[in-house]
Amino acid sequence: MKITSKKLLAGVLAGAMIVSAASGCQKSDGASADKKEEAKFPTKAITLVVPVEAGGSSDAIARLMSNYSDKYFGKPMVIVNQPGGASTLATAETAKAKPDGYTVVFSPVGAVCVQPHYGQIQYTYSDLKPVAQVSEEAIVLVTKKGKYKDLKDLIQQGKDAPGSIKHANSSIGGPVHLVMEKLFSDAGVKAEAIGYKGNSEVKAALLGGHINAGVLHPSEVLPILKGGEIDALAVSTSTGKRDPALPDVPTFQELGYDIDFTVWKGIFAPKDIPENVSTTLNKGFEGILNDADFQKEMQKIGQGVAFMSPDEFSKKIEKEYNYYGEVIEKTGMKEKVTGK
Amino acid sequence: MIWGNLFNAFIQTFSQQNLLACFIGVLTGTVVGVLPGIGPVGAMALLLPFSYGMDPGSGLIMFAGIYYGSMYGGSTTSILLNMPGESVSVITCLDGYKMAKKGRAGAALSISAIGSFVAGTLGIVGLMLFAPPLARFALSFAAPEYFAIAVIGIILLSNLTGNSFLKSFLMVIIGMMLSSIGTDPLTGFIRLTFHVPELTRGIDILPISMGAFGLAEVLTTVVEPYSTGDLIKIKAKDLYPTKNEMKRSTMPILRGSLLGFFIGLIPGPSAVISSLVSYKMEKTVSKHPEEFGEGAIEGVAGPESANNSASSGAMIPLLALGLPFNANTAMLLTGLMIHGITPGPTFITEHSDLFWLAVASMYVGNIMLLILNLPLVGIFAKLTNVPAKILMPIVTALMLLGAYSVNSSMFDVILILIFGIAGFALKYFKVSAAPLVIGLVLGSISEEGLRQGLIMSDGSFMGFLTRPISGSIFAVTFIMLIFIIFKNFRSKKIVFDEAV
Repeated sequence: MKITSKKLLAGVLAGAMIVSAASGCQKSDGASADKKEEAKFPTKAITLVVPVEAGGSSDAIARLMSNYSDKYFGKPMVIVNQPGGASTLATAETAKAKPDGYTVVFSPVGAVCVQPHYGQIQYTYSDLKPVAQVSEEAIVLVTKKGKYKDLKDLIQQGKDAPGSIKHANSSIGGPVHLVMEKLFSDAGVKAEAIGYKGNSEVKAALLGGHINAGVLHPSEVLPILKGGEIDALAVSTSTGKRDPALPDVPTFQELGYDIDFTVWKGIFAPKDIPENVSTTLNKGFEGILNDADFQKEMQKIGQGVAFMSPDEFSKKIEKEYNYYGEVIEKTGMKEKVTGK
Repeated sequence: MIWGNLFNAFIQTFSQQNLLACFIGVLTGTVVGVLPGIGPVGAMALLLPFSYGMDPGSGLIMFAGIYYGSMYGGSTTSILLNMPGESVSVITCLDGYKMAKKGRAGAALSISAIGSFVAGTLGIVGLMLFAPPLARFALSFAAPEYFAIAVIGIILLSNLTGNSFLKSFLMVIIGMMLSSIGTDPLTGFIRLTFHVPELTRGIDILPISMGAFGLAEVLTTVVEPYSTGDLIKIKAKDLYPTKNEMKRSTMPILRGSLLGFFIGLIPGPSAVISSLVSYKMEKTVSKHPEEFGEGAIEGVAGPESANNSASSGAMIPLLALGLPFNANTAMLLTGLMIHGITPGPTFITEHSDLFWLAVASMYVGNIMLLILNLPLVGIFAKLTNVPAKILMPIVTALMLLGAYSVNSSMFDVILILIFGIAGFALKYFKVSAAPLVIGLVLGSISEEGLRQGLIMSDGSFMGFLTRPISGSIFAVTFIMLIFIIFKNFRSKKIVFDEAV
């Protein structure tokens, strides 16, 4: 009896160990590299690091992409979540990772072009090699239904009662927050930002009427907008045109504000990857992002594919990096974040 | 209307595909619940690619199954090894492990499974009947209310284990200090990380509960080895609870279910909080509070029920408003989104079929879990007969692997080792590590609540007292404080006593 129960236990635990080993060792597989195999790439799974925790749009997009890895790279793609420091932890780790192409990160604009300006992290955009832009989302200013007629109304209240506008976001210092900082700074209104841990909490505070305004993405806004509980006052897009998902919402430019921030996300590799590896990565991701099935799946999760080649993407990143530097300078955001 | 919807949903649930999805879900949930470290979020993320091929209903059924299924499994290692399988079962270590040492492991495991079943089922009834109004009620809570809840929680729970108040409260404060490490949620400032990049994400409950409970226990067995002969041999009839144990567990299960359901509506680690509150409540109403910490079955029945119904409660903001308030429900949302369904305030009316399918499948899933877990009790209870020299290295390896897998971070493993040594030292000095978890959980809620609330009220503390809900909670807190001080003064009991 004793032997059988031991055997059973050993079996159960061995099985359990395999499960946990499989889920635990993914990263080391991808990180260790084979020097002599450099000519051929890839010879094993590519690790795609997601800089936020599982559950959320970035994670979902990454997992969607990984399903097409076999088709375009001939090897699987392993997703590793490495949250921390507003996506900067994973971005920094990738910048430092062995430049063999087996470790790439799926980073947002905030981690690449905005956070380096606050002087709290050890890398900047030029430590990364852009592979492809994957998606781009507009930023929408929303208020509780019927509280404000339009953006002018909101600004007017801010002027009449300085400091009375409280606006919420879930990424303090990031582009979403900067939309509001630039708006109120340009309008000459004193307003206060409240940082929340996640967009769900921002939405809850908005629906409960506890804050005056919130900043979210169209895909997040649509379901509550459809329920008739909020108004969308203005949208920030990079194209100068309205967001296709919100055709009735005016852009900030239409309303006279020079705000065109968006949240894009892209694939980045360490900057020193070999030329042939870089070319393979670029081609592979280009293939995935232009795959009709992939685009259909992205549509379902409310994300548009916004493929951009490495050259265009690099130019855009440099331009935006400098632009965000000016905005942070002008709005005094660095002081608000770091106290210095 | 309700019954018609439910009846149709049950018919759909009993399709081959949905039953299979439900079974895979609850089985996976049980397994990741039992395994220390690996949690339901990681399991859902790994299964996400497979759910593409399913229809949205089956995917939802499977993911929900993983979520509530993990609440069943979490207690197993808490009871058997003093090592929480999930953070929600930290408190179950206290009495569950003591019960196991007395040879009542089977009873503790059975009660935990039965309590989970009752609470899970009651939670679904609540979800089914009251989801929209409760979700609206949850929206009336804002930062000041969360701050008030955290304050009353810290006062009520700070002396959870009933040892020295001073030691216990110190642990709460250390926990609160630990919660302030990382990126400041209100300004984005990276604080107290001492240039350790991994600390920017803050310290999670997981490494603390694995380290200060699990690893500390392993280290203790190294110093105080016990042979299998020390353990009472478990006979088949001892595997299941006695009549008396069942009777003592009935009310705790019902109270835990009710508490957990409402606490589940709070954003953040509500299931952990619900289990802590339930433990305290059982200890307070108990006629024999001295048994708590020595193997009181109420200390297993209440918390294990509470965390299950909390998981049903947490589904309410998700299904009624599309707002996931924790990582598990965020994964459920993702699971729906990949099928092009984005829950919002109109989800229940627009996708009523899916809502009712989820409800029906949860009833079925809970029955599956009960059938699955009760026979496992016998197998698990026999684990206590395995010599420590074989068992402990295996569970340590499992724990470290699991902890590594969450963020793929060696740093998390190092954290467990640090907290393991700290927990071992605490054990030696007879200080309970449970208040540390309370401080950690309530610390960040109180900090965010206070600072967000102060911005909302332009820096005035009056803003906290004039809001009806937060004002009432503060009034209750105040009366309670006076009562506690008065009671201690009357009985001439010195608050800072060293009595154990």
